[in-house]
Amino acid sequence: MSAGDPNASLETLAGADDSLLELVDHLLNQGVVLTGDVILGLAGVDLIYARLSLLLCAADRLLPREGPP
Amino acid sequence: MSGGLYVYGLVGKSVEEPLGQGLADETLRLVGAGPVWAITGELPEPPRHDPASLRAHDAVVRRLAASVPALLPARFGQSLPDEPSLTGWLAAHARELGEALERVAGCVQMTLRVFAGPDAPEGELPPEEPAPAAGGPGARYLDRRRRDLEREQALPGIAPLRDALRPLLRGERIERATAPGRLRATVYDLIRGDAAGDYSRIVQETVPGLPGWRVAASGPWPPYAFAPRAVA
Repeated sequence: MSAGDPNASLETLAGADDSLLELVDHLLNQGVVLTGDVILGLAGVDLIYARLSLLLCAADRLLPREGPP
Repeated sequence: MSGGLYVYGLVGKSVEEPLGQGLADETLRLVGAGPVWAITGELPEPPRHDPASLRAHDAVVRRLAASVPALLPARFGQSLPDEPSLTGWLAAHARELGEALERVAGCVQMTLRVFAGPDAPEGELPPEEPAPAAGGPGARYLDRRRRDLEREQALPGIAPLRDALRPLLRGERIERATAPGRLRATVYDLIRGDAAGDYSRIVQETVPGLPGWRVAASGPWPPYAFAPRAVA
């Protein structure tokens, strides 16, 4: 996208994975903490690492890839 | 294993029941004894650490935030074993929590993810303020730290966007990205609840004039980023 394209610089996260990224950051990284010992049920997905992966994926989707076409 | 008293958020004492259902369809109720109360649910087991539970928790918090004057969202997964432990915790932190509730009353949060391309102009940092003449070594050190932090959070590359949004802000938190990569910072903005449309319009109008920078906007959110963090 060119710099003159009015949509070139702005992306609003709207996809399912993007919204999960935002949920992970807001709900797991923000908010009032009453106790350091968070008791959670077991799940198949480690969301801490998923958060990092989603951050990287979000960045890749928003920016053009570098390198030869 | 019981989930204990699962906390969704903190509110002022003027809030009344009924409050509807929680993420496990449990009946929500207020627990507290002073100026700050907790909206809680008794869960049969701890919530699962998965996307469905996160979405369910967020849906409950959003509904509650829209129905009360002020709400401090709790982080996902916060449980205390019983009422005495929760009321004791609330009493111990009542002042700080009360101040935070006043701050977020009637407000929502907007979140900006700021990415820089390889050629993104960084802009100029604001001029460094002269050190104050008065004060001892400790005071001068703290003042220097404050000024360094303000300059670090200036994000001069997107200064036109931040200047345009400033009249809407009731509060702001900036987190610089610590890992290498194009994500430079996350900006959490606290705005009046009816200003979300203006906020989005300003972002859409201003960002195209910042070549090389990418901004991903989301919101409105309940004020997750403006809940006190180090209260445990």
